[in-house]
Amino acid sequence: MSTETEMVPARRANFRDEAEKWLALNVPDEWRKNRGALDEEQETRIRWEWDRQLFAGGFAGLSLPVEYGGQGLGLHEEVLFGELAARAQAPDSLGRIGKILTAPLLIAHGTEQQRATYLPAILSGEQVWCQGFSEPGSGSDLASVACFAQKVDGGYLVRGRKTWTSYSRQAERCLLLVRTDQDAPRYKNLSLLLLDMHAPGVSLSPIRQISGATHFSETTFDDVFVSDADRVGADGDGWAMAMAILSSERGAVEAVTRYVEIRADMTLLRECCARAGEAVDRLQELELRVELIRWQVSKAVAREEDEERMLRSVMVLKVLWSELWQELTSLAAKLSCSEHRDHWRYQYLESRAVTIYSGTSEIQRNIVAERVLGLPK
Amino acid sequence: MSAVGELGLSEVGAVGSDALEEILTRTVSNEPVAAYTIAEPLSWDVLQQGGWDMLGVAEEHGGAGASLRDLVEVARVWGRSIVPSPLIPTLMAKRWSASARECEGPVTFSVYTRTTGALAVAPFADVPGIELLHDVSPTGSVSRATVGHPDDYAPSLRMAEVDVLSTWSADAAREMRVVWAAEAAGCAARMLDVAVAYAKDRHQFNQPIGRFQAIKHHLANAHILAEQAETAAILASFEPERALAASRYAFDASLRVIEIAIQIHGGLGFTWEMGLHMYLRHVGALRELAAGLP
Repeated sequence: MSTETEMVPARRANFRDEAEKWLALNVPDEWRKNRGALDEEQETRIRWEWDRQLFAGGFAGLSLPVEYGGQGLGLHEEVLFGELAARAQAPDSLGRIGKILTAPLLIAHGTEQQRATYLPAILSGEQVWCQGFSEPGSGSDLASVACFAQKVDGGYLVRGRKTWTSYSRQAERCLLLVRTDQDAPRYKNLSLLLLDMHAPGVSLSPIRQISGATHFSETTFDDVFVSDADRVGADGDGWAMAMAILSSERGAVEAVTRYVEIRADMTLLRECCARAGEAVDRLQELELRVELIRWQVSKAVAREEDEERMLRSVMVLKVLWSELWQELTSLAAKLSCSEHRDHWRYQYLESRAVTIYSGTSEIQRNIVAERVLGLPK
Repeated sequence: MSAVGELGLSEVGAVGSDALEEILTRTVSNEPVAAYTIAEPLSWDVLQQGGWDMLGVAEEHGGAGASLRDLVEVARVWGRSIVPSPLIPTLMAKRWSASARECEGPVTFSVYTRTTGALAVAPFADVPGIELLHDVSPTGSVSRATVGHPDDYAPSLRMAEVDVLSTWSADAAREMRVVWAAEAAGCAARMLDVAVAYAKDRHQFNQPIGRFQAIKHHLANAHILAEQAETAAILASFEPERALAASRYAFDASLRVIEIAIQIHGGLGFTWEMGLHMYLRHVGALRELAAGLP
């Protein structure tokens, strides 16, 4: 659509052209043509290779500082690239946890040694990370994590369980939120560790989801040693740092990628229904709401320089795209789109997850109420 | 505060909307809305001397040359205080018609109404001296309207039946829809602010009601809808083929925000004096006016 060029203007000259050209040449056919038919091993290999391609092409760490191997650009370019990559049906980065969570965390709070050790490996795609936050007993109440890191000479011994760990089988490192103090008050008793997933004492068991897929694992830590050098920030600062990296402008990049996926489902559903003449009003409303996501992202990006206004617009995105996608798949499952029945059945089941992970819709609304509107805790 | 360049906003739109907000705040911020919507808090002379009626007129016709995107911002600011003055219809009439531009005073136009026995309804039709534009297009002419039965549903819009149904060019009708949608989004933004402030202040069960999750989720939903209403008006100003759907969405979302604001205020929200209903009436009437456009 012609308006997009104006909506997310790149500040580096030709960024859009460069990115489009590069994507056209580099997105692997094997992925674009067989997506859905690939087994997990093939998928992992392609996504891993994609991280190396991104780095070689100069598109890794777009908004991270140049001195740490990033491209020194801004949210504009991150969002624009996310949109273009999704349109070009590029694979997702296998190293996304490292790039989205670990790298910005280390830039803000890491030691020079941690930055030198991990940032090059994260950006080049060599090192995949997973995220150890949720636990069987700590979902929405994330601050209640019980996985305990006991202080020992030179480091910690970690004991406990984490769940919903994506990329756990490929990950070399885990960004781990643990309790380091059994007596300190809530929110002051947690720390962030950079744990080696190949260390003795780490074990994984896959979780089968309602769609039949197994994207996640439960991870058990049985006295796994982590050295002091692999703690980020001070003991007890884990919660504050974790909250800062989770609720950031990153939501805009996530949302634009989701927009492209939902757009594809919307177009497919409209094609099915146009023939049957079904649910015309409902489809028109959903169609508009899909486009509102794109404009909501543009509005947020346009406010990049004014953090408070930007957050007012960003913090609604997760609820918007997740609930919209669910409504869309529910409608699709109900209508008579028989030739894509398998697709809609799968999407219907898969979409149950989006209002649960990365902060449930209920937690998202609490965050909007407390952080955006300033209502009392 | 509006930033120049934000999604195509020009300096005229940014500076104009900020200045208008200042005027409106100075005029009515300490007045109860239920009182000022039935009075005349801001005289037409002030608006005219400031050149506000010529804001959307092209520069070659002596106006400030605001774009539709700019007018979205201006209308949003206007919607925040629903001052009962015919600025929005006048600036749209003057944007579209040379004969409207020749009028010194305010100008309005009419739209189709579903009221039995009536031909058309016009906002601010009973304002003394107001002219009625017969054809909202570059060639339209104006005349004094013969004002019939008043429609007092929304005091801030001073609607009345008239004996002429204005014709509209397709572009003029589309632009009017977008601007009214933006005005509705402004109403929603204001009601959200009012409801949030009330939830922080009002105590029940020995705590501010804003601490209860049921209230938080109502207000979070209101914020999400208010954001979407604003975004829909912006989208509508850029994508003509989606303007109708987007403006409808903005009206519905804005009304829902105001309904939530009334719910948050409890019994107080249901009183005439509190005045929240003035916004509910205003947006409901804007939705009807927009539905009466061709």
